[in-house]
Amino acid sequence: MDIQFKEVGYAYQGFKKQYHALKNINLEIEKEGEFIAIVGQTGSGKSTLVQHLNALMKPTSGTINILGTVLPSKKKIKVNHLRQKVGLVFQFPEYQLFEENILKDVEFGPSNFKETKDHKTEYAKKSLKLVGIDESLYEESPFRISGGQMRRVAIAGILAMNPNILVLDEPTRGLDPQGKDDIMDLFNEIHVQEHKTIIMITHDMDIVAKYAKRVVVLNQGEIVFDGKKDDLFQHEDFHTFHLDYPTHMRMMNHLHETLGIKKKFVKNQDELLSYLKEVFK
Amino acid sequence: MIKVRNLNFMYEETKEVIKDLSFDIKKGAWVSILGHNGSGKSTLAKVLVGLLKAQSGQIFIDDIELTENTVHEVRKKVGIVFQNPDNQFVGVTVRHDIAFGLENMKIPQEEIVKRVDLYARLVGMEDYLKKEPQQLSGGQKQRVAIAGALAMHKDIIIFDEATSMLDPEGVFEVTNLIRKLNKEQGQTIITITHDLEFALKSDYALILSEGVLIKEGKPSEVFLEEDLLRQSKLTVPPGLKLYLDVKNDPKLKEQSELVDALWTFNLKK
Amino acid sequence: MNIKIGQYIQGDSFLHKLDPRIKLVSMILFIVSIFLVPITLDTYNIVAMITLFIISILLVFLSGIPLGKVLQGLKAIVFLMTFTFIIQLFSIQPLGENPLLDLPMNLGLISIPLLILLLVLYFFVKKRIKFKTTWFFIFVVGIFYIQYAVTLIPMNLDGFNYQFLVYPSGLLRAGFIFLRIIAVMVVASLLTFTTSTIELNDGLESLMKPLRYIKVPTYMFSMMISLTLRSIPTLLNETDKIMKAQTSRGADFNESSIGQKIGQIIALLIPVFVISFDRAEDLSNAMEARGYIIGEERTKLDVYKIGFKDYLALFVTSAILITLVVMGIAL
Repeated sequence: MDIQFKEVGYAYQGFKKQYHALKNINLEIEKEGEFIAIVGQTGSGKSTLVQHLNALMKPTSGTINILGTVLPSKKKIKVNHLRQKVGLVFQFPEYQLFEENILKDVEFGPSNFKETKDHKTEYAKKSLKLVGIDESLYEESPFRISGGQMRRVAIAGILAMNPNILVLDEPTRGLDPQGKDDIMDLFNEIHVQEHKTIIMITHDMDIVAKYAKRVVVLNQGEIVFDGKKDDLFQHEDFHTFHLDYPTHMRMMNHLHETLGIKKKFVKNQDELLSYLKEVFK
Repeated sequence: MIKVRNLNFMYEETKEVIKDLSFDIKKGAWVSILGHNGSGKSTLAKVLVGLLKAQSGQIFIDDIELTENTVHEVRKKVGIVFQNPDNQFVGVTVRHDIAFGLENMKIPQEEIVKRVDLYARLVGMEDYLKKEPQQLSGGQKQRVAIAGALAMHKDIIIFDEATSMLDPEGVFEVTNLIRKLNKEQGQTIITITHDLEFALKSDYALILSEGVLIKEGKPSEVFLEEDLLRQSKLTVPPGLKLYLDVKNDPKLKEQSELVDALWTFNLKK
Repeated sequence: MNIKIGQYIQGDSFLHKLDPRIKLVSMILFIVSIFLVPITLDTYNIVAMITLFIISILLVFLSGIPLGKVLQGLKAIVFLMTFTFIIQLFSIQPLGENPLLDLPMNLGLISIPLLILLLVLYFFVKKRIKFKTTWFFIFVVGIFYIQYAVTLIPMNLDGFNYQFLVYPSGLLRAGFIFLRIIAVMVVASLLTFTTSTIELNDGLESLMKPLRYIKVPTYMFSMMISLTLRSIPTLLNETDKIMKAQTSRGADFNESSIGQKIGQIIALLIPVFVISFDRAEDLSNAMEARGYIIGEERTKLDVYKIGFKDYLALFVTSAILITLVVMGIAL
C-alpha cells in the first residue's frame, strides 16, 4: 500500500461547533496502475480528502502514510518532497499560471524539487508535447492563449514534475464536450502508457463509466462505497449514494419503464445497442 | 421581438468573427444559439446588450434599433446572465444584488422592496435574502442573477453559457428555472451554449460555425444531421448518439416505439 | 469558508437600533468631548474625565455586547498604553511639588543580567499561560522592582544610578491619558460592534451628500466601498486556492529559502492580480448591462428613519459637549 489512510478524520471549528469534513476514512491506494474515481455530492468531503494525498492538509485524527511519510507527526517534518510524487491538479488549474512565458511556467513545478530540478526544461518540453501545445507557443505569454490551451499548459505544469500518482479535481469542469473528451483521453493515455495511478474527483458518471476502474463514494465525510465500478452501478443501495447512473444505464432504465424491455446491465453504449439488436430481432 | 440583420463583427482580442448574420426571435420563444468555442456565440451575446459594438449591420429589440443613443433604453428590455456566478454578483447581500438594477432605474424604494421579495420567491431564494455571496453555491448565485433580471421586468433574458461553471445540482436548478420562466411566464429566452443536450430542451436552435449561421430550425430536426454537427465541431451527446445509431440501423429504425422512446429520453431531464 | 469582515455582532440593543448617521455623529461629538477636558489638577476636570470614562463603559451595557469582549479589543494596545503611561510618569518634573514616590534605582552589573533573566522568563512563561495581559503587567512592575531591589544590597554599585520619582501631576497626567485612550477605544469599537458595514457605508454616503453640491462624486465612493466589501471574502477564497495550487507545485513557504520565497510570492500575486482584473472586467460588464451609469443618481433599497431614540442620543452627546465647552470658558 503506497498511500494508506487509517481512521482518518478532519475536523475544524465552525461558527458555533466543530465541523467534521472527514470521518473514519480507511483507504489504501497503490502507487501504480490504479484509476480511481472519487464521487459524491457537493460538500461530501471529496476536496478535503484529496488535499490529504499530497500533505496539503493533515488529519486531525487518525494517520495517513504517504509513500513512507506518516502524518500527522509530533516533530516538524518536511513534506514538500511528497508533492513531486503526488501531483495535484486543482479545479480550473489555468488560474495558477503566472510566468512570463509558457515554457517557464511549466518549468516552475520541476524547478522546486531536487529530483527534477536539473531536467526541468527537458521534462517541461516533454509534457507540453504530451498535452498538445506546439513548440511555437513556448515563448508566448500564458495569458495570450485560449482558455482550453491554458488548462492544458497548467496540466503540463504538473506532469512535468514527473509524479507517480496524479490527483485531479474535476479536470473537465467548464470545458465543452470536445474539450472534455480530449482531456480525458490524455489522462487515460498517461494511465495506460506509463502505468501511473490516477485519482480523479468527478461528478460526471459517464466519465466514471468510461475510464475509472475503482470508485470511492463519499457521503457526508464518510466512505460509503469502495470497489469496482460495475459493482457500484449494480449496487442495491445505489439510491442512497445520491448519484446519477451513467447515460447508457439511464437509457436502459427508461426503455424498461416505457417499453417494458427487460433490464440488463450494460457497461457502455455499444453493449446497449447490441442488446437492443438482440431484443428486436 | 429581436431582429438581427446582416451583422458583421470582428473582435481583435480573441479573433472572433461574426459574418453577415441575420435571424429573428419571436416573443415568448426559447432559442438556443449553438457553436463550438470561437464560433462567435459569446461575442454575439455582448453585442446584443450593447457591451460590444458591431462593425456593421442592425439589431432591433422590440422594434428599437440598437445604437449608441438607444443603448440605455434597450438595456431595460434585455437582460444577460453571464458564465461566472461570482463575477456578476454586485451586491453585498442577495437582496442588495437583486435591488441593484432597480436602484439604477431609479425605481422608488417601496417598489424596490416589493420586487425584491417577489422575484426572490419566484427563483426560490426567499430564505437567503440576507446571505452574502460567498455563502452561496454557484447555482444559487445564478438564480439571484436571474431574479435581478426579472425584477427589472426585462422582456428578454440571454444566458451566456450560464451553466458551464456549475456542478450538476446547479445545472439542474438553473435549467428548471429557465424552463419554468419560459413555459409558465412566457419569458423570451436565449441560451448560448455548446451543450446539445441542454439545447434540446429549447424550441428553436441557431447553429453558428466560424461566425456564420449554418443552420436554424427546431432541435428535433436540426440535431439529426450528423454531418452538420460534425462540421460545426459540436459533440453529439450520448443520449442523442444512441438515438441516431438506432435510426441508422436498418432493422432497428423500423421499431417506431423504440425510436420514440429514445427521443423522449432525450427531451426529458 | 465563512469569512466575516469587521467586528459586527448582530443584536437588538439600543445602540444597534440607532440610525448609523446618528451613531457616527454622536461618536464624533463624544470623542471631541473627551479630548476637550483639560489635564489639570482641578477637581472639576478630574471629575469630568472620570464621568466621561464611566459613561463610555456604561454605553457598553446599552449595546448588548459583553464588557469582556469589548475590553478584549484593547489587548492589542496594552503595550502602547503601558509605554505611554510610564513615559508620562517620568516626563513630568514640575517645580514646587512633592513627589509621591522617591526610590533609588540602579542599572549595573547586577541589575542588567537580572533584567535579561526576567525578559527570558517573561517569554518562556508567556507561551504557557492564559492570562498574558496580567503576566505582562507583573513583568513591567518586575522591571522596576529589580532596579530598586538591587540598591538595597549593602554594596557600592557601579553603573547608572537614578531616582524613580512619581509626582502627583505625573500620575494624574498618566491616569488621564490612560482613561482617555480607553474611553475613545471603547466608543469606537462600540460603533463597529453595533453597526454593520452596510449601515456604516450607507451612513457615510448620506452624511457626505452635502459634498455633492461642490461636485464631489460621493455616489462613486460609496459604490467603490460597497464593491470592495463584497469582494474581500471572494478574493480571500481565491488567494487561498492559488496558494494551495502553487504549494502543490512545490512552492511550500515553510520549507524554502529566502530567494525561493520571493519567487513564491510572485507565483501567488500574479494569478491573484489576473483574477482580480478579470473579475473587474466581468463585473463592470454586468453592472453596465444592468443599467449602471457612473455618476448618475440612484434610488436605494434600504431607507433609514431617524426616530426619538436618535434625537435623544444626539441631544445627550451635544449636551455633554456644550457643558464641557461652557465649563472650560467659565473656569
